[in-house]
Amino acid sequence: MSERPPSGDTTGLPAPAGMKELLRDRLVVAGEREDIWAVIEDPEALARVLPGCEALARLPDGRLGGVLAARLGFLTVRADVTAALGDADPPRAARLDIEGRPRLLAGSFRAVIPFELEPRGEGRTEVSYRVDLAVSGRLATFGLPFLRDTMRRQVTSLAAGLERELAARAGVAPSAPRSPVDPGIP
Amino acid sequence: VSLRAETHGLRVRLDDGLELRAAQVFDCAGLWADEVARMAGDASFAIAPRKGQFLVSEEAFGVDRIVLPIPGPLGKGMLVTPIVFGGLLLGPTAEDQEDKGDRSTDPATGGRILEGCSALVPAVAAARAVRSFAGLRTVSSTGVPLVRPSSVTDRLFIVAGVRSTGLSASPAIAEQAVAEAARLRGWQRPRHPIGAIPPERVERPTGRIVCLCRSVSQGEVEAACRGILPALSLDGLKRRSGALFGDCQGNLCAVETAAILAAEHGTSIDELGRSRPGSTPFRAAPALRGRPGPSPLRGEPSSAAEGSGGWPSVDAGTIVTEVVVVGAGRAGTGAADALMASGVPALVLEHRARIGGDALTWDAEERAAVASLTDARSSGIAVLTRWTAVGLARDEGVWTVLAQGAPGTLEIRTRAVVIATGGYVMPREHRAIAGPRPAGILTSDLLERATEAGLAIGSEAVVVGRGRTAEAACGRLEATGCRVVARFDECAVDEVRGATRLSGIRAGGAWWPCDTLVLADRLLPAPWILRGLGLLDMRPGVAAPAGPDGRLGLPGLWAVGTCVEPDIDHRGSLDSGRRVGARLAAELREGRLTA
Repeated sequence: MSERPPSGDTTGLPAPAGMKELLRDRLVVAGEREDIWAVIEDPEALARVLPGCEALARLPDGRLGGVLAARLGFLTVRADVTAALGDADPPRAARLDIEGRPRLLAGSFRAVIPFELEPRGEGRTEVSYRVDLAVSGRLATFGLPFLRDTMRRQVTSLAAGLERELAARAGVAPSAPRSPVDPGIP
Repeated sequence: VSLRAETHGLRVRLDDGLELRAAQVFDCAGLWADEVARMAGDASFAIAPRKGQFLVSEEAFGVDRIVLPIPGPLGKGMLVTPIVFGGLLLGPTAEDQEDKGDRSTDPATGGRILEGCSALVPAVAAARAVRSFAGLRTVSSTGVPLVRPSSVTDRLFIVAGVRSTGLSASPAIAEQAVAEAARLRGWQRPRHPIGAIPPERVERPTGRIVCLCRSVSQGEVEAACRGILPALSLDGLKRRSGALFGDCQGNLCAVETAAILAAEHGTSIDELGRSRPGSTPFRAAPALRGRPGPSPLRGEPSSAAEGSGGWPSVDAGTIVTEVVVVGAGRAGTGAADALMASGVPALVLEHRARIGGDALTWDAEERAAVASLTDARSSGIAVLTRWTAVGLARDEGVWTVLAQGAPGTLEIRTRAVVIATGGYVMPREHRAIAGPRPAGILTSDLLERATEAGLAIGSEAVVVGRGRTAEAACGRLEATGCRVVARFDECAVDEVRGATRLSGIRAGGAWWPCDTLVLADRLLPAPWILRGLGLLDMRPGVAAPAGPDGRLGLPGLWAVGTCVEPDIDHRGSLDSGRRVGARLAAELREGRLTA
């Protein structure tokens, strides 16, 4: 069962120019660091744990491409995204770069998510992360509070999905049943 | 107009003379439920209006959920509520009154709303409202909501006085009312519980940008017109799509939005209402009535020709250029003119179908600059009209400008960007003007767009403002047969009257009968594209934070004209655009542009 210790500043660099820090937090996931890293590197497994993931595949240039959906207020926003892992230091740290264009809505977004994985004993791993975001067009008009709220729910769902995936791989049930805050995408 | 109880039901007569007989009648007439019941002889209750005034702020102040105090005897009190399209709803007040038609707002109460809401969220004290409005709750004299048979006959079922919870509770209340009536009548009724509305799965092309300040696309507006509960009026469209609801309050986009709404419903723009019957904001200009051929009032407005001005059309894709100028008003034209003179290749993006801003206000030199840019096709300058820049991103010293047009999305990679997005006239909703919200109050921006689309606005107008913009507004009104009955240099209007259409304004201590008020005085900057970069907050009227030389805080990013200096005049805009263009060209030539 993941838990939420006080926020830290492990990823202490300022947001790149033209981007805003959206979120900085830590959470503890029930799973070994190496197992979590293996999921991160496996597109099929990632597709299962990413909330709202409707498609995900490795592109010829090594990046991942797919379709993600997220609830933004009462709207469901579907976006074509590409993602790449940079500055990888397996299985300790990396930076996830995500770029996307929402369907139907005009505009784009780019998220840079540096994260670190630290073992916390008893098969648990602490994930420290920060989300820096640049949005344009329609998404920018929603304002950062809405986007922050959405991102928090996505991270909570991602942690839950990750624990389910790790438990399934280990052939055991998750340590405790949990309901993601986001009930899912209709 | 009448309800009469009979042995096996009720006889209902409508105002057009039609008579209906029904075994069961439900009285769901809201504020008028008591008057409907009285027609049947039921005087067991009265309904009184309780007004709630609201303010709307585009800035969210970090609030991502509803913040409300502990409820008191009059209800929940003032709330701070995030709006689904972004921004905050502040209020409401609770003001008991007698007039069931009075939805007016007043500036003093707006101040009390800010005070009340800032007690919950202190930062809200700095909010700048982009709109105020009022709604009326239905308060029952019995002190409780009424969901019961009438005291005269159970053939009449009363559903009234549910106050502000009525909207969200209405599906459940309807279930209860129908179940109770079915029990009384002995109806065998299969249950059809109201389920969740299935989500809209059909994805349409995004299309061009319609609502500039909120980047709402044509695809979104069309989706709102074709949804499960399709938008039928401009207000309905606003609530479903968020268009018409941003900083300009629809003055920049109402004509184009109305054209799409009209096209979707196979009607004409001048037949569309803003909300209630009689609230039609536009009518056909006399010269256009009976005009042969396709009506310019149907479908797209007349200025919608793609690639007009002789510029080549462009498909979605990627373009690389040296400089992008966003906006081709005076400042953008000046910047492009200077870049052209220096031989620097540039791409100019213009949301509208033509360049140079309002042609009625050009002087000779401005006209020459526009002509020079129009003839610049072989000089390394390209102008894309009806393409809207919606986003900026910078990566490894290269700017990417995202532009949206009818064919799709264009990605333009460039070394430098000049923001020359101009401004808009402060709409009525930002001003301290008391009274209701009838149709007929607009800015010169909307007047310009409406008249260019062959639409007229009213018959007797008051114009606020001086200078070329106000003169052009008067000219446009007169050309469409609207008489200007009064002019004021500054906005001295402190109150308006009118139910669905404006009937008069109070200015300078006197009432002026009129059906149209045109505001052409105070310009606000429109640098909305910079919000996504975090260079601006969401408050209206905040100028692009450019230095005296036009530089913004990021390398290669410049801004000029009204979006920086809202008080700059037309000629000043053109000249400052030229200065920034020349400075930028020099930096590029000398390789001084820092990456």
